[in-house]
Amino acid sequence: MTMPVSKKLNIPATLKKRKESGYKTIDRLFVYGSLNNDYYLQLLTGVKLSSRKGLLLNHRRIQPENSFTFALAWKGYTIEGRLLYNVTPEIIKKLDEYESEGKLYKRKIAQVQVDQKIVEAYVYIGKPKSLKPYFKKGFQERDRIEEFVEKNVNRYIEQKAAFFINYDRESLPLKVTRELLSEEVHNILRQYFQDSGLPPFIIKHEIEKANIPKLKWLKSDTKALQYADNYIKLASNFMIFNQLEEKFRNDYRGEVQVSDAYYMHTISAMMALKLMVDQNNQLKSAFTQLEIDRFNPDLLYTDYAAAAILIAEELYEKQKVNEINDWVNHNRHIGMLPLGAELEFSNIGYKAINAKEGDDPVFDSFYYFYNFDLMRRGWKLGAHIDDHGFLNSPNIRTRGFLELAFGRYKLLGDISKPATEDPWILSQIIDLATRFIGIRPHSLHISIEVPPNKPFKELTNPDYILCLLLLGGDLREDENGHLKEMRIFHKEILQDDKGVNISRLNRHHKKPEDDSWTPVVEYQFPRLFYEYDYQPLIMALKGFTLELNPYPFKECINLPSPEYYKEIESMLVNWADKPTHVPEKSIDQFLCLIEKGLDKEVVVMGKEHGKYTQRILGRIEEQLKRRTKRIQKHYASLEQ
Amino acid sequence: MPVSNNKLLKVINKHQDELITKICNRLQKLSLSHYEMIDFERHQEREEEFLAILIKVICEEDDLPLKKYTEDLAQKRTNEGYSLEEVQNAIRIFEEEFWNILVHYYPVSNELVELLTYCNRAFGLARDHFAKYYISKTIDMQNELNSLKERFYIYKKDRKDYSENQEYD
Repeated sequence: MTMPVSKKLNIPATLKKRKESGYKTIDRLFVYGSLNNDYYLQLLTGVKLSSRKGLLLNHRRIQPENSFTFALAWKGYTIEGRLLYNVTPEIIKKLDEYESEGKLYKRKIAQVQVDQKIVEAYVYIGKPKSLKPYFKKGFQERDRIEEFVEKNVNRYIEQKAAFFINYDRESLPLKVTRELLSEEVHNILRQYFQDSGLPPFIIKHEIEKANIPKLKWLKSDTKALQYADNYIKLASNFMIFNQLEEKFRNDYRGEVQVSDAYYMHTISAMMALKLMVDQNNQLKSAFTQLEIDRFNPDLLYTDYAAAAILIAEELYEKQKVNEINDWVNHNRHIGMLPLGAELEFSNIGYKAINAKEGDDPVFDSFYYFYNFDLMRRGWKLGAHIDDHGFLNSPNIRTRGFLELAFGRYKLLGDISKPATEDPWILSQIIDLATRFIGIRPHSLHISIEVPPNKPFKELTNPDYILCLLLLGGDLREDENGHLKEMRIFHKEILQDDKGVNISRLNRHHKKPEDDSWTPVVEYQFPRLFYEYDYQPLIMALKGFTLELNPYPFKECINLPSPEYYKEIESMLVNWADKPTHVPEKSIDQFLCLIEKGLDKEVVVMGKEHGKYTQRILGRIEEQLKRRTKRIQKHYASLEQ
Repeated sequence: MPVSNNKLLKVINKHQDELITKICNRLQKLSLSHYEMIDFERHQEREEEFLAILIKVICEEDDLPLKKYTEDLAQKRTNEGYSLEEVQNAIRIFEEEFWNILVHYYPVSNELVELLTYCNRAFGLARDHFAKYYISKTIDMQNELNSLKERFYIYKKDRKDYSENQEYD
């Protein structure tokens, strides 16, 4: 079919009509913000485009604090950026969607100067009123891209939801499916950013193959049925937590953001835990009212997820969440050393290892943890079962402790990031997680990343370990009224060859494909208590690392004097059996060492941090002296 | 109870350390309870606070601080997941050790009998007030969640179970 041609200009009529109406076909786009980043551009479009530096004329860049940039028409101003070429209509369509063209941004034609020439190009101009809520939440470039990618992932989740859940109100099918597949969605996003994009068919496949947990299997497993109420309650708790964590992360982006070096969920997780712990009465009531505090054969797993979503919406009340945000802003600190923690729980304490069937009347030592899909429910807190043996696949049933490992992405291969560098945040999240989980706390491992190029040194005074045990061990009377340090006395951290697991050297990989690793010392001796402020212990360990950095007791290949460490271990075993007071001189030396170490941070971090450090040092000293006095009084009272 | 006030305070102050230590050691031995997994010093702080309130009730016959204290305590302990039985048990331990200290160190006299009666009353009040507030907190919460219950009921009624879908299985 030939197009009618205008006699005057030899231009096809259709094109003439388009020109007359102002429609132009432009394959150039000026970028100045998130799109002015090849990595982000590739994430969004899947392609690399040729470009040249350019200047957008008669527009002004607006850069709100801690948020992303946008442009406004403004005579006399210019914006530096790049001009992209060969921008096809398909690419424009994707970018229109990303920029929410028409809603948040408007795509217009503007003049761009490239070298000495002026050309026309598309540019996205911001609509300030619509963008305002994003600035308030602290959205940054990466957050926008994440949101965009998630929107695309949600399409596949919606398709999956429609297959197995027929309910069209309150967006519940999407929310329920997202909740049950939240770990998979998180992994897709991680991979998306890691690989600069993922083909849609891979995203679709990952979502399609992810399974939705069921409870049908319980009908034929009478043993598991005995514990079902407790497992269901734990699963529901995790799901409510996940929902709240996501809300905090979305509504307080600026506040919960951390650098890439740290686990992205730490602060939002802490806020979610705080809300649940503070509202525990309301939470318990909700469980009872909705009857999800027990196994009901008429309910599907998805029903418990739906209930969790509704409860989370009920709990997430504006005034309370703002108060939590203020609480975080008021108390948070900074630090130099990346920190992590692992928490162990069991209703039967140290007997969890080698527990037999039925020893634990509540969870049977978590034998059915994986059957109830709890690893996926608790992934944000690194939940898994630790039987102190070789790490198993999640498909194998085992009995042991429930462990929460903040920052652990993958169990096998120990892929993790440190939780935080802030001792206050770490202490809070330990305390809140302990209250949240509703299971008897057992032990705490605190991990500290070794400063780069800092060599290990020999432990100059074994009494320093006693000081650490006074700060974080478990000094208490046994059933006969004798004072003991229970972590060692009960053989909880004792190995068969009389080795004491005070600390060990770990090698952490930040990504699965990483060959390189970071040395991290994991202190394994602390007892996990309710209502305990771990800041003094954490700061003491930090000072210890920064100043002395002694060889870890275990997994250290080049330990210079193994015999010396064996002697120390022997001393610790004897001390645990009959704790004696630590000499004042040793306590003073220990305090001096800690202070020297922490001063290294103060020099870098500033005066405010210095005040915080001094406060905590005071508490460390007070705790050491009180506990030493307690030991002395104990023996004095026996003599009377 | 005017006469024995000073003597009571003298005995308690002199043996406070011993009293609190005994209570804390016993609480830490309460197997499978929250108390077992609380650090000794934290126990000390908590029991010292309770002791101060009790002395006020016994010596000044003023129940108000105890009412306020038990109401706050009920709010905290219900929130922390303590059972009513757990806390009543802890109060009983406190009472037993307090009683032991008095019987051991207070001069034997009719005053002591009168004092023990007042103590009995004070601890009885503590237990009763706590139980009353503990239960009322639970009831209050239940009444606030009717709309939540309704939403879930509507969801359960209307959602279809597709769990028979081959792929879903």
